[in-house]
Amino acid sequence: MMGKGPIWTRRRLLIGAASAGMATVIAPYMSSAAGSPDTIMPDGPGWTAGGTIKYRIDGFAKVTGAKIYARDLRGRDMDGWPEETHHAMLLFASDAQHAFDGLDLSMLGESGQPDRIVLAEDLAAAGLAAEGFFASNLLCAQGAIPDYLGQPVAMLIYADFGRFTVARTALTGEARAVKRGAAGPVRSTNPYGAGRYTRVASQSPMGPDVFSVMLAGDVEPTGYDGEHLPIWSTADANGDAGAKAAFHGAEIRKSLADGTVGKTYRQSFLTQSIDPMFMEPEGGIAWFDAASGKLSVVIGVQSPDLSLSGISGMAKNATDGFKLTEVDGTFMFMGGSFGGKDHTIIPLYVALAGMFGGGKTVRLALNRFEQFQFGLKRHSFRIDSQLGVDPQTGKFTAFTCDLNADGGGLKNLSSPIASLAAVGSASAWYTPQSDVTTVVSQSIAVAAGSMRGFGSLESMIGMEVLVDQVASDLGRDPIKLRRDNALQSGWLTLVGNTPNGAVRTGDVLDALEKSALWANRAADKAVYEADNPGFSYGVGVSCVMQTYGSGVDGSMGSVALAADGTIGASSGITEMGTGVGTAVAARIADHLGHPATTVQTLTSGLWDALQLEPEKDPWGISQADQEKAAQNPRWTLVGTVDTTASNGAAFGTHAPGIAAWVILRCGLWPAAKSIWSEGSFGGQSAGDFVTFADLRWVDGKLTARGMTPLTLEELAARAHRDGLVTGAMTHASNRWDWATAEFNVDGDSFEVAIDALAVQRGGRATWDLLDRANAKFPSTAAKGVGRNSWALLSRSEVNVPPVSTERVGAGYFSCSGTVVAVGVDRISGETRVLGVHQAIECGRALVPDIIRGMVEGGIVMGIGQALTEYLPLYEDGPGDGTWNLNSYRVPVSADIPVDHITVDILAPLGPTDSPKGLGELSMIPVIPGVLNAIHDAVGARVLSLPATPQKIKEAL
Amino acid sequence: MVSISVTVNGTASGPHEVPDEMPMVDYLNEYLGLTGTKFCCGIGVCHACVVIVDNPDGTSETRRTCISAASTFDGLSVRTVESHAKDETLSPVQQAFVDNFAFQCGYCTSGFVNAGTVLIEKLAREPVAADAVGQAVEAGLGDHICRCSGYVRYHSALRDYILSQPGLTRS
Repeated sequence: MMGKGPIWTRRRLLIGAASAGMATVIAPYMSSAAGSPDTIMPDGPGWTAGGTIKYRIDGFAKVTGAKIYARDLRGRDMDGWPEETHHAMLLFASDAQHAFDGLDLSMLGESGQPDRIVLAEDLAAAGLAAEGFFASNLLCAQGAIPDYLGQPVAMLIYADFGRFTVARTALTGEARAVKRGAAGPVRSTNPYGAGRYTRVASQSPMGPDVFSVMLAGDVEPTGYDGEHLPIWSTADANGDAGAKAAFHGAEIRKSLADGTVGKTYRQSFLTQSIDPMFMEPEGGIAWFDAASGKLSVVIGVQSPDLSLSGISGMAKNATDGFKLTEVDGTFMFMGGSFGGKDHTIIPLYVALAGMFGGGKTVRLALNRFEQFQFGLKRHSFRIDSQLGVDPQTGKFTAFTCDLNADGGGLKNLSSPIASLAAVGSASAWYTPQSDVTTVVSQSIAVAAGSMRGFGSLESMIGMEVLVDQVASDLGRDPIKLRRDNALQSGWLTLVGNTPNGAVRTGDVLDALEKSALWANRAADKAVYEADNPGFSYGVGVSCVMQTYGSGVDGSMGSVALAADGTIGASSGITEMGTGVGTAVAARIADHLGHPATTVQTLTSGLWDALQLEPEKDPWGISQADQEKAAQNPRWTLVGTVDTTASNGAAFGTHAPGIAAWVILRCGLWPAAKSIWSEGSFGGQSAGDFVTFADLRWVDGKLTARGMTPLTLEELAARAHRDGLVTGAMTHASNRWDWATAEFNVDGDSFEVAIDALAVQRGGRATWDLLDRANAKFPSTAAKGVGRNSWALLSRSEVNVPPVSTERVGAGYFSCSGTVVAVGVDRISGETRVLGVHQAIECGRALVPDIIRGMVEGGIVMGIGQALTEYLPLYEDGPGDGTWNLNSYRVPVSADIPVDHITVDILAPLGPTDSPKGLGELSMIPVIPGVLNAIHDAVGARVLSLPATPQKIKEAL
Repeated sequence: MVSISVTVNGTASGPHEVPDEMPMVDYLNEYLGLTGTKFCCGIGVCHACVVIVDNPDGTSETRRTCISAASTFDGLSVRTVESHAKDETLSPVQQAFVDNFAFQCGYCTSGFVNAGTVLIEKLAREPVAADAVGQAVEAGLGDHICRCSGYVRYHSALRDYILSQPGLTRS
């Protein structure tokens, strides 16, 4: 199947005076027009040849260089935009201790001066300011001390590319352009967040606990002192949650200090700041029509709606000439992201470029120096841990962990990242008593934000190294020690919550133990060291359990079955390379026997039919308010979907999968009954009692209890002829559990894990079969779905997960473990990674080849963080504008054992297992695995990342 | 400013007046609208931006376009990633990469396709022993940075393709 069509579309935010600011309105699906990106993106010919997935749905486009990224587009590519494209760049402060004293652009000469310079005073005059999540000074005002290293101070706009590129070359690394004034105090504020996570178990690990976050609620400091240090509640066993946490925490720490909980192991560990180093630097284009107030942007981000609302909020108090009536976003594929394009502020600057662009299309695209200087970084953590261990049994008895992170100059997602660091700090191991504190501080460093692992990565590294230390000290096998301490199914986690489903840490550990890299390690060591004089061979192991999902997640899906059997599917999630579009296609095959013919991602333009009324404060709503709100059949917990928290397979495919199920149930099943009952006396089905539960897809055909197998084409044709359900649109809400509801379609009632449903019937006059024939092309199918009539069904009963189980109540976990083999030069400390084996359990693997590729990528990124990647935080770091890939070293193929990376995807427990998140999971165990392997090789316990040769020598 | 004329994907382009120091990737992206050639690091490290330069003697080579001025391509014949698929049929290197799920985000793919193509063409002229194919692939692709995939599938895809083509190896 081939065609042309979009796998992205637009979202639009209309700003209305009647709604106290703005209202989200889902735009009609954008029309295909010559020159728009809709017509540029080719599907892959034959990607589902024979009814099976041969390669990624976006594989053909990517391998042919199609225009699918935000950086690819100019005004000439966009239907209706000004073809003339101007070019903008930002200038940044590389010093946050002296005032910004204006610009010196004399080095550009007279002809090289920008056509427009935008300064903080221009934003103020226009009434433009970031608010809400992005609240910060978008540009440093002249005379002010920059808030942080890398803060933008000005935007330069050029009308022609030639002068622009000359100027940009001249300004790269040119410190004189941003003049330094008088020295002043650096910015210093209270931390972005802090929390305490204390748990005391009862006799049973299954609870009920004596005390936990799940029982008592979040605990935060009562305030901060003059040094910005948290002030925790005074201990009181009978006080409020904070006081009780302080009481129990003190008791736990006392028991570790006096040895009453066995032998105490202590560790102070440092994780470094790193850059996501996605291949496509951030950027986009914008066009502002001042007459109408419409601002159009093309960007590639993980959080589309936040970008639009952030842009809209920026103009809330805009003066005439800058007022916005509409923000229209087109969201492209991302050339990598790894969390770094989640909640990014850069789209606000793209928008500003358009708003100051004089009605032209303006492109703002960071170069790599600028991306290092301004893009979000991974937090650096200092992790101080104590682990009590019974030396006789090896059982963990108590655990404390104090996590201190540097959040840099913008708050961004620092607070939830610290929270997840706490949740993950025990890794996959059970401790009956734990006391974990977090503080994530403001600094003048480049802003830190989301990155693959979201805090858990950092804390788990520390724990996995600490567990290895315990195993070494007690002389225990590190896999057996982990098995003896593994949190089991139904047990309570560090926050007192029960993981959903079976915990399969034991299965992963079994797989690691059986791996050749582990089982043959003694023999391999002998061979390697004989062949490599001066090098020592070592093998390290690590195993982690990582949560996926954010705590408030939505899922949207639409599936349309054309009369010819082609399936057009949509999901409300963005594609950043993880293959979610292909995974959606695979999940639809569960119910329709064939993968979707075409898949669009981020198709929020379709969802008008659902008339969703999303909760404005899903994180803060009370239980009572939620129960009241849920009475409104249009209310949902969350409206749209970010690409975050490894949510592609588990969440992005959920609603499309249920949409396919609805078509099976309400379209194909009655169609099959109709066909099977043809003829006299009830036809072939007369002699048997066939139920919906009997249906099976066999070799691409639907059969049940001996009935003639039917092709999808036959069923689709009958469903269309008889006016049965051939299209379904669904929305689902999740808060560590799916909202469920009952629906009735033509007298057939069922309960499903969605909270909104619309169906499309093939027999309706408004359903044009010619359009449906065109549904093989994504844009045509989608437009058919969006424009035609949808019968909106009222849910009769809805069960929304309770409140206060969001971030820390993490319920979804998957598990992976890694065995790493290294060779370490005993003199220089140089480390070579010789082999990596990863065992991973991810529920049902939708597209195993994509999963293996993602895991392999996670392994290599883990090697990079373990051994080479490092960014200084302050003046000598990326905020100075001089960092690039010459100084920041990511692995190339020569750095990794290309032929000795193996991945073991554990089989699901059963065919109905849901897919689980794994994108973050694949990277995490690699890093401590490398460190533990270094220790095994040469006895050096490196407690600061990256493990450079110098640190290894020092540890020796 | 300098005037350049370049044959790109078999089509003569130019003469165009461009700034002396303007990188070739900008010429391809901005002047010709060929955005398959990707800007990533801008300093010649990652190799995402490489294109193929076809020499008069029938050989070809990759060149980094982010650190090479467009003016240095004046008079040359260049192939970009947009040139390889014909009538919606992928080239063998492209097909090998998609069949093996070699990439994820795809932003580095253009560079890998061009480098792989040059390697295949070189091996067609100068076959190597089968046991040297791994080294040849490392030499051909080893400078390229991929952040998503971990290189494993890029390398194995190309290696398997080479070993499947008798003319590319010698006994």
